[in-house]
Parts: sequence; C-alpha cells; structure tokens
Amino acid sequence: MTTPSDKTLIRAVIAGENEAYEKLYDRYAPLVRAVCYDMTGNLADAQDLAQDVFMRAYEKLGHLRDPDRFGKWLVGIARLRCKEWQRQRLRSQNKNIGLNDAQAVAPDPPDDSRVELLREMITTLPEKERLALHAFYLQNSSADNARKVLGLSRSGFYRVLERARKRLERLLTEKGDFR
Amino acid sequence: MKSPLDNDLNKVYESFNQNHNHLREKLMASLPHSPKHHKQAGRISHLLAFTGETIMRNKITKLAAAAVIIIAVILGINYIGGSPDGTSVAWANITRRLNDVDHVHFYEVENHENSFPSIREGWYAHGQLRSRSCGGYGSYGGYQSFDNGKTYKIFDRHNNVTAIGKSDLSKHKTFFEAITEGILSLDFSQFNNKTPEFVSSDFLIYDFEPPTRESGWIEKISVTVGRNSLMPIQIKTYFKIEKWYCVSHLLLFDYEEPEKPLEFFEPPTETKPPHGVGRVILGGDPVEIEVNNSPGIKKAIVRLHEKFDGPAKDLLIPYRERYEITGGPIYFMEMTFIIDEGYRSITAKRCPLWPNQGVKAALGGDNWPDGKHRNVRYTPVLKATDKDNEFILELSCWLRTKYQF
Repeated sequence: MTTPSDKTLIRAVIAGENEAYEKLYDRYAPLVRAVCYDMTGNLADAQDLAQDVFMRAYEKLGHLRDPDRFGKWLVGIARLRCKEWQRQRLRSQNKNIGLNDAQAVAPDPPDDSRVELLREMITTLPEKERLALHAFYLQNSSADNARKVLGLSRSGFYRVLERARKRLERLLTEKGDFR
Repeated sequence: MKSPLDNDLNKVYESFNQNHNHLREKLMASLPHSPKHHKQAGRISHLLAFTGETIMRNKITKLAAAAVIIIAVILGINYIGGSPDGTSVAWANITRRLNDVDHVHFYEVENHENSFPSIREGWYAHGQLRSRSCGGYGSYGGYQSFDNGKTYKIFDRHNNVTAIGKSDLSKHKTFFEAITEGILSLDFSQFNNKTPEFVSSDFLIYDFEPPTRESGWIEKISVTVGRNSLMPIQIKTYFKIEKWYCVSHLLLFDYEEPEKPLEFFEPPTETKPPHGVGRVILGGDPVEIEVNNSPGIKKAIVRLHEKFDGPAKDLLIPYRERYEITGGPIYFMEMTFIIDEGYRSITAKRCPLWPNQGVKAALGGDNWPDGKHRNVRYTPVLKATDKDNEFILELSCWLRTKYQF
C-alpha cells in the first residue's frame, strides 16, 4: 500500500476529513518539536509550541500555495512561533512572570550522557545543518522526504547533511566524547 | 551498517516522539470541525463565546468588564455631545510629553485562559526599575526584579538571584518605551500622526494596529490618556488567541505616589534559609538532600556531573545571555524530587548552576503516576568550599498544584 502524499492529505483536510490531518501530524510533529527545541532548549515547551504550530497550520491550510511544500511551510510557522515565544519569554522574565508549566531546565531522558551531549551540540550547529539532521533522522532516514523540508536537491541535501555530521564528530572529539 | 553516530542520533531523536499519541489526541480534540477558511462565521462566534466566557469566569475580569461597560457608556455620551477639540491631538504630543516623566508607579495585569491573572506592581525612578509579582504565582508569588538600567536581576522568595539579563531600559530611550517594548516611541512614525478614536471631557483614547513585527500575536493596542495631562492612564493590549499565553494585558499608571528614594532600588543582599542543604562532589555519586518546611516535598536527589568554561555559543540558547554577562565556569547537575506521596519527578539532566547564584527552574507537570498536576519550582545555589571539586548545594523549592503562569 502506498503512503498518501502531503498533497493528497491536505486536499482531504480541506474537504473536511480531519483524520487526514492526523496523518500529517504523525509525519511532521516530531520534526516541528525538534525545531522548537532548538529555540527553547526544553522539551516540554517544544511540545507546547509544536501543538500551537499545528493549530495555526490547520487554520491557515487554505493559504498554502504549494501543498508539496507543506513540511517547509510548517517549519516556517514553527520558526515564527518560536520567535514570538522568545519575545514573550523575555518580556515575562523581565516582569517576573516567566516560568511556563513544567519548565525543566533540561530535557527529559534519554538517560545517556553522550546522547545528552549530542543533543546539546546539535543546537549549536548552523540552522541549515541542524534542520538537515532533524529532517533526516525524523523522516525515517529518507533523504527524499527530508530534502523537501529544506527545499534542496538530493545531492545538495546530502552535502549539508554530511557537513553537519562531520561538524558533530569534530565537536564530540574536541569534548573528549564522553563526560 | 549504521555508525555509532547514527545510533546516537537516532536515540537523540527518539525523545521527540515522547507522548506523541497523547499529544495527537489532544490536538485533534481541539481542532474545529474543518479548517478556518471554511468556517469563518463559526470560528468568530466561537471566539466571541470563548472571550465572553473567559471574562465572566473570573472575578477580576468580570469587574474589569463592568468598568469597561461603564466607561464605554460615559464615553459614548460624551462622544456624541462632546467637544471636538481633543480630536486633533496627534499621538506625537503624547510621546513627547512622556520624555519628561522621571518617576512612575504602575500595575500590570495579565489575564490567561486557564489560570489566575498575573499581577505585577512596579516603580520606576532614577533610571531604575523595581517590581514584584503576585497573584498569578499564588503561594509561589513574591518574585522581585531589579533593573538598574544596565542589567536586570530576578530574585525568588528567598532572595536568591534566579535570572540575570540585559536591561530592557537600556534598549529604549524612556521608561514608557521600554515597558511597551517600543510602542510608545516617537520612532514609530506610523503612529505619530494618529489622532484619538474617542474623545470625552476627561479622556482621549488612541487605538493602534500592532507594528508588523508584533502582528502575529497582538490584535490591537488601546491607550487611554488624560485629556489635560496628555499622560497615559492605561494601556490595554488585546492578543490574538494564545492557548498558553495571555489573552489580554493591562497597564495602569499612578502618578500620585511620590518618587521612591534611590535606596528603594537596591536589590536585597541577605537571603533566607534554604529548604535543604547538601554537599556535592563534581563527578561524584548522587546525593540525597532532605527538604524541610516546604509542604509536599520530601527530598531531592542531585548529582553534579559537569563543569563548563567554554564559549557561550556552545551552550543552549536560553543560557547564553546570562553566561555572557557572568562568565564561567558554570556547572551542570541532575535533579530529581521525591514528593510526600512517594512519587519521583522526572529528572532534569542538565540543570545549569552559576556559582553563588540561583537558577529559576521547574520540574513536572501532569506526568505523575496519579495524573494530578504538580510542578516543583526550585532554586539551586552552588557554593564553593575549600576543595576545588566539592560544593555546598543550597536548595529552595516550592510545590505548586494548580496550573498558573
């Protein structure tokens, strides 16, 4: 059985089939959470923001000009939402009303210091490289799906991905790998 | 075959699938029947119903709504029969007037969808800003902030510094500009020629569309100024529906209170005793810290596992600004709480610690075994000993059982 394309699912949502939106959510929610995590450094906030991104996307679905670029469009909304979040957070911090619910200062498991270190290192990569990693590892290691999120050709995507991986390897070596 | 890096990256990304099914169910349950563009009318009526319900559910907003209705009636009467003179007062006159203000006392009220309003009282004088928050924090309230025009510092109820950042005052020319994030600024040239929407014998009311950069989340800003003084009395910001942030925001200004003396803006220097104290060793085993006099919390388990002294860019974005101001080293610890019911919280794996300063931190939410909401808010303070790798950890913590901002 073939997996329905984003375009097919979006048409179905616009026609009133909300179940199709569940499929889009399954496909992209982890990626949106990862993008939000880059800005928040906190899994609980990233989950909240991602929910909000999907609400907004749903409401604006009719404005999406090219349904094949749904992933890229969604990441754009996520970036915008995160910038708003940062501004709001700065405001509320200055006013002492800043702590969001469940705002652990560090993310939840995995319980592995190398993995934890790696996660933190990813947030220090250039944005394009970070997004390439997110898209690749959260889209079942499929370059074809992931490249669409970045709007790159297959070879262009692999170049960015490889650069990101090399940079991570170098950072891991510099940090002595395990701490 | 996958490389070790691939395996680790897969582990990193597994965490973004946490609670996925639960989150999907929540999202799907909150979607309207079909997207907005097909149900415009339904959506608007939904919003109106939602706003009305939010206002009338809450005592303070109910009173505020009543006050707005009274003011609206008065304004309406005066608008119909009032003097036309005030209609020509351009907004630029107000902002010029604000440059002369050297001290202000103000209140700030934020209404949230599912929690109590947050209330903040503040004083500005001598180019400095002090404020304290209450209400929204309930039993956890009492946070204070001090902004000396260069940096701001936030203090918890035990007078521990929990956050440091660049001053908002330093980024703007006047206090009013800072508190409205630039909206009450002459630089907003698109506002300067604006004349009031409403004119009464006492008030002028200006309505502004938000600047483009804020239009994603602000619906409208309404400023009421005294007709003779040309000073703002209240600024009300209406937000686009935000599920987890505030619905509306109100600033009220009081010009009666005399100017506070300079010493009023001095941050506290003495801290209150912490709820628990333990000795921790960098790279050592986890340490249990008994928690006393903090209802609901039994103990904390901490492990100090890392020292960091590198460039700020290697830190997570939220920690960078503070690190740039304070410099290193900083430390990272693991933190878990055990509450009176015997449940363990989730573990914060990399809680950053600035020596001799606190950090504003929190753990937990709805993910406890009994499904009840609990959020532990805590301030850890790491203090040096005569040994390089040994520290005293002082812990202040509070258990919050209601959802509040």
